[in-house]
Amino acid sequence: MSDTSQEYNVENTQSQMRKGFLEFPVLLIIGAKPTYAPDILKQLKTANLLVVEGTLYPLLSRLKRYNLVAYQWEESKTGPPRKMYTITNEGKEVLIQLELSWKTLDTSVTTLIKKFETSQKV
Amino acid sequence: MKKIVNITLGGIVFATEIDAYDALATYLESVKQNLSSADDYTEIIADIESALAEKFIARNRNEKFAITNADVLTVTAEMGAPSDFKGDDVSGESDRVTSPVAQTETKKRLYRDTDDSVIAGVASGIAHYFAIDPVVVRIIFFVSVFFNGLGILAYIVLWLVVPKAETTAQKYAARGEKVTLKEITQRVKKNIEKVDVADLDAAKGAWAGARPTFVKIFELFGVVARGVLTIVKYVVGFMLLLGGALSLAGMVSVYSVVLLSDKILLPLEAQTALDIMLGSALGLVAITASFVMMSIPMLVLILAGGSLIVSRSLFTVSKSIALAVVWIVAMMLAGTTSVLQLEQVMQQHNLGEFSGEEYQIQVNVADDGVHIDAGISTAEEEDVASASPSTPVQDLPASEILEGGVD
Repeated sequence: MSDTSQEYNVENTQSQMRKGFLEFPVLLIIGAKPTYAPDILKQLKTANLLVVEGTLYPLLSRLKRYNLVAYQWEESKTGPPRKMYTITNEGKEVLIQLELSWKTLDTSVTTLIKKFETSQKV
Repeated sequence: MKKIVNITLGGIVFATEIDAYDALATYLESVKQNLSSADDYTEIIADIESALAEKFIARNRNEKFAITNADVLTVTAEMGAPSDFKGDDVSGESDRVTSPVAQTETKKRLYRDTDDSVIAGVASGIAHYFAIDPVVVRIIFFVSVFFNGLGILAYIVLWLVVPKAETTAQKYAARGEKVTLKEITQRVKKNIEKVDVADLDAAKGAWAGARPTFVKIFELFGVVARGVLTIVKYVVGFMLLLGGALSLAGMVSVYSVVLLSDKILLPLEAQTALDIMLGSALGLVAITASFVMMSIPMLVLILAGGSLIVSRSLFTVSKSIALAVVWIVAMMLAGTTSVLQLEQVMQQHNLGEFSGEEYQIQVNVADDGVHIDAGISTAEEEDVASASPSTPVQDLPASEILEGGVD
């Protein structure tokens, strides 16, 4: 995965950052419209939020366990049956809360980043 | 040229080259080990397998175009390293320490181990079962050959009866070892090496050359013996079935004739005894209980015959217990009620015929003298015959009677 130990640490932190909040974007995707796991993956990859695909499955399982999402099996012509994920009412409530805290977090972090960037320019 | 293993992922069949199979099995196994204890790992693994299936399908792999090691490497790289699966648990629950994967203790079973065999793997199978060296068992077999060929007979019987360990799981069960995916992978690897070694071995030694023919002859013998056994099984099964059914039918008709006809065919005592029995509740219980008591063994015969014919046991645990309980209860009921009933019958009859001591004496005074009829009142002819002095009619002159010949 890595060439030097320093690089590895950065990557590790990055992946920890992504993993820590990955549930939020996944809920956002499913909340927008019922989605297959491979399509969730595609969207996450496009948004550059996901490094490795395998991470998604334990995450979906956990969301399911806390009853934030539900799924139905759907037949697939080309491959194995797929799970179509939908958001539950509980999931929606959690999503609203997450959205709120994300926005707060975003504002705070953006402010800090701006401060940092200004300091660098001087 | 590579061996392939057929696998399913998400219910789709894929041919997999043996090294690719090893890699994939190891990958899935370590993913399992890395999943957090809080996760529902079976579901996650199923999801991952389905995802892998879609990726292999996208690479045009199926049961005709085998998955190669390169495919596995690419696909698992996309999925992520097994260690990536573990860190995402934000709740900070500890990682799974021990893998829950198929670590059930396997029950030890006797199999023939054809991987380690001189003839058919009987000796090594026994050795695995008792966890001893196969050589010891082989020596015992060899020595016992000199005792009326006992060893040969035992070997042949075991060969026919003991199944061959064919799957890796069975091979593990033969040794009573735990089955984990890692071990199975190791074993598959070992077998591949073994095949190479075996190929080399086959080139040398007369025994190696003669052995296949020898084994074939015995296999043929086995097939014939099994065929004969099957026929014997059906014949015995049919006989048991027929015997049981006929005796049951016979018993039912005897009971119905005795109970429903006018009993004229029966001896007098039996008639009266039967009347008494039918007249009382106790008697009816005795009759029913004895009927049940005798019919159950016949039912067992029928079931045993049927089991042999259909080649599976028709005796379920519940059925057997129920039959046994009913049989014991019927036996006890029949026993106690008949004893009580017998006493009743004897009392009602008041019966001298059982004591054999009561005599009936009839004295007729007539013109020509006195006729004395003296005899045992029983109708049983034997008793009558044995009581010789009392045989009917003795004509005596009146004078003798007056002298006091008979009181």
